[in-house]
Amino acid sequence: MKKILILIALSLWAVFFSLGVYAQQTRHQIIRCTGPIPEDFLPKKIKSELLSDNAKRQTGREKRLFATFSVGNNYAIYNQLVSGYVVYGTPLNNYINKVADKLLANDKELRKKIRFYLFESAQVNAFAFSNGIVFINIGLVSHLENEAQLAFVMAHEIAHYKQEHSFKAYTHQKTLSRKERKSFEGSVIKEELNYKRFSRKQEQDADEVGFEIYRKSGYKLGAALGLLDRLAEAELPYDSLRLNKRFLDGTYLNIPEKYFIDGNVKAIYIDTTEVDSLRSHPAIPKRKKVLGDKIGNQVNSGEYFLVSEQEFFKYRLECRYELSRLYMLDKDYAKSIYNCYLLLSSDPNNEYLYEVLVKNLYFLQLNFNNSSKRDVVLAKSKATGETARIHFMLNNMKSEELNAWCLRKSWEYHTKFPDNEEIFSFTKKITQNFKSEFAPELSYFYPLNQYNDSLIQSFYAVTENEELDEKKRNNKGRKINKIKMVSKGSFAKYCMPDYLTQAHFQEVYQSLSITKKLEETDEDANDKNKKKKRNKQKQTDTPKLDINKIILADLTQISIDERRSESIMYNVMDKKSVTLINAIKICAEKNSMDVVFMVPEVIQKEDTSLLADRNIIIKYLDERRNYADVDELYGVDHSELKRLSEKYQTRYLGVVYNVGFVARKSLGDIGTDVCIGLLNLPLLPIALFEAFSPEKESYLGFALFDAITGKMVYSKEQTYNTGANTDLFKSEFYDVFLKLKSK
Amino acid sequence: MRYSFIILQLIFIAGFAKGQVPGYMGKKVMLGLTYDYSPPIGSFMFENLGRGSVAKTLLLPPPRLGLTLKFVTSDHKTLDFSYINQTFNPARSGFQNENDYVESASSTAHVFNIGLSNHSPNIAPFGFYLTQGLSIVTINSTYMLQNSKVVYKTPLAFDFGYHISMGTRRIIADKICLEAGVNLNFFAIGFFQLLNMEEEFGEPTTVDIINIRAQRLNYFDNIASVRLGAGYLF
Repeated sequence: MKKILILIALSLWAVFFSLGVYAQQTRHQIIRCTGPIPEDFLPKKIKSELLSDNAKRQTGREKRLFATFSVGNNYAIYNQLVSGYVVYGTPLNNYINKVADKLLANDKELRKKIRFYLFESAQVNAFAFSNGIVFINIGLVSHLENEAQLAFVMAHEIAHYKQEHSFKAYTHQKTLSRKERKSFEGSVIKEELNYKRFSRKQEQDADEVGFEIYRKSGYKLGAALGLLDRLAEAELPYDSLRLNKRFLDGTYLNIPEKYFIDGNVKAIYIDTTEVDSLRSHPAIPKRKKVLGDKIGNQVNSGEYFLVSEQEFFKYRLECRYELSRLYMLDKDYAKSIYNCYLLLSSDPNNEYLYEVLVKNLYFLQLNFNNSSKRDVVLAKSKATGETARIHFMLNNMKSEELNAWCLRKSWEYHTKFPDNEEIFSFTKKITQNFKSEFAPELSYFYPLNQYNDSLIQSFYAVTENEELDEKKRNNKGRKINKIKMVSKGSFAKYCMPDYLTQAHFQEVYQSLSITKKLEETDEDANDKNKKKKRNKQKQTDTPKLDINKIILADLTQISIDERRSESIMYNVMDKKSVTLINAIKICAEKNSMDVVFMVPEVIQKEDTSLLADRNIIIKYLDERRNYADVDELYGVDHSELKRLSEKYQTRYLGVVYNVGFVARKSLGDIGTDVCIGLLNLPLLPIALFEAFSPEKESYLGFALFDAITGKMVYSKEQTYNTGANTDLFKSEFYDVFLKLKSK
Repeated sequence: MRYSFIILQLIFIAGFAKGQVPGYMGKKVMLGLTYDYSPPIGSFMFENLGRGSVAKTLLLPPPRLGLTLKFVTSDHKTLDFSYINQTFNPARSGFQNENDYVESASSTAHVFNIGLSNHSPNIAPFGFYLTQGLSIVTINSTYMLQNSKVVYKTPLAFDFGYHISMGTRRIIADKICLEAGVNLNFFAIGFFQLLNMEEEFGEPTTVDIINIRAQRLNYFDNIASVRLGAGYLF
């Protein structure tokens, strides 16, 4: 009996322990780079690699072509590597490398040349560069069914590298015969079609060569066909679980039935035809046919997993969690919400997913309040799959209703996780936006005793006759599905009756100030002149900033020289970037401004944490670019930015842009200048100088953002009719730092 | 004099009182030297030049050297003071006066300019500039008669005008400033002296002739010139 009791006690302890472990696991850790920075990220490595590659070329013409190709390619590779979206050093990277080892077990030399990195993108894609770097998107891993499919994707990309496809595509474009060029008749579409035809050939070639690599590895041959089926559905989320309306409803906020598609949604359109003239890849049926012929009756030959089945599913799940964030970064909020829904169905208490949900609400609210609803919500006719239900609801919601929905849901999430600072921070922001837009006072909301769900639902109860009348009135014959509720009322005022009685809600609501931007919006939202004037004022007025330390996170340096055959010359780690960095350093020193340089040009191998921190900031700056019109923007990684501001003891993030442009001068321009000089003899030397010197222009920009408030605190951008030189950089940055220091 | 000193003081104070003026790397004063080249149009129009002297006159006109002082008053503006000294010969081939023959003459012009330069979009004093301002010139002339070999001094002549100049400035080693540009200076009295027919139809005195010619030459020397300059930033 005693033994039985002990056994029961032990088993109960084990159950509680496992529950405890489960509770701990309900927080997804965002995939972040770890370990030392790979050599590839150091700009010198890229340059030397391309130069040594050029030595292999046979003819002078080939060498010349490769030299110009490498200029753009060099920039593209390095730009991707330091884009902030490349992941290295994670267990998933190690797993991918293990798959690559299996795949190229028979070709050690080739294995040494190929480097795989994860790429933080929701797109179902992978891409290879001419120097052997292959990026595999997180979106792709999320959609795969087994390790063999991953191996086939990798084999396909290896084939692109092996066959030098990117250089061949470049050569193809540059060496078109005169006859071919003439046939385009200046039509961009014809040129594009020609390019795509060539690209399809290369993709077909990569499929075939890749398949030979794949066949030797021992993976299941039939998995390659399964992969193509997954690719056909790449536009959809990774699964299609029916979306329950209850997920969108709030306790006192029932989304009107009219706003929700209750029946079946439109399935994704999968093109099964073999017409592919507009595509860069051959049509899926064509690819399947070619591969099917190669596989023959060996569909079941090989294994689905050669490295580890367990690891594959573990990392795929990690990628699926990550996908929620990535959809959000892509402004695909409906997919992000639906992705959270899919994951919550098996992990209902995951705090991370609720963080993502509340952020989605914040960004939706921003878009609705800034009249950019159309940028993030698909038209009813275009939305397919389960996300169509969310798009349909968002399409029908008025701005006030969406704000109320966001407010209600965010407060519910905050109530569920009261200690989560990230959720609370975004909840406050949503509340502040709601308050500024619609309800400066709490009296806006109806209290609990006035709540009546049937009354609210009656606002939206539109009879069939009314809808028909509406259609008849539309003399253009377009279908109108607008629901008439404007005159009847909306649920917005009824959404918070229970919270109204809570001291915490009252306290937070009253403590939030109405944002300045929204006050102005009331006066004149669309007055562009006013905005321009405000921007001009921003530049000319001396703001009192009193900033002593900044992080310089990004520096873009581009030179465009029309006189060269390859007109765009991207400079990576070239003299101009170094000049610019040195000028900034000198000016900062003169102004006693502390600048933390996070630009790729100064990153060394050992700066692991610096690069990781930079990645977070770069992503925020990308988001900022996406929301250029928004005065204040909380980034997706808001808490991370807060952490960085504490770590570096500054909340200010700076970016610098410099574009140099040299125009080609026509003989007519030179002649005109000379003639002017001859007619005005005293001005002849200047006219001659003007005639024979290149026409230069440069653009220099600097912007500074507050990582905590999401505000742009200072910006300066200017175009000059000169080349960008040291003295220009110094004069401008001295001025910038002086302004930042001003008290 | 006292008042003008007070006005200058006020201008400087107004300029420097604005705390946010960056200048070039914090340097807000520039002292420089300029050299102006202007084709001697006046000499060609009013003098009978020998064959040999055409090229000489054209290539080596009397040097016009100047001293400039610039104060940065705002992000894109400077207040400029400059002085240019120039000489010319209002009686190159001589002329007959009432009693004697005027063998040679020499005039020295002292040009004083005050102007406001705009360097927008660059930060002053760097980059492209456009200057507008006022000029005053005083001309001292002397002449010598052929027979008596006595040198006579004419009373001081003066002129006033409006100048506009444009050019570009680069800065080396954070201290040395190099400049190239064009300067246009329109003197009012000099312009009206071009229409003065006193010498041809009236009975002018030697002094009148010297002054009229000096003002005309001053007008042409200043109307358009190419400027090269170098300066030091403080």
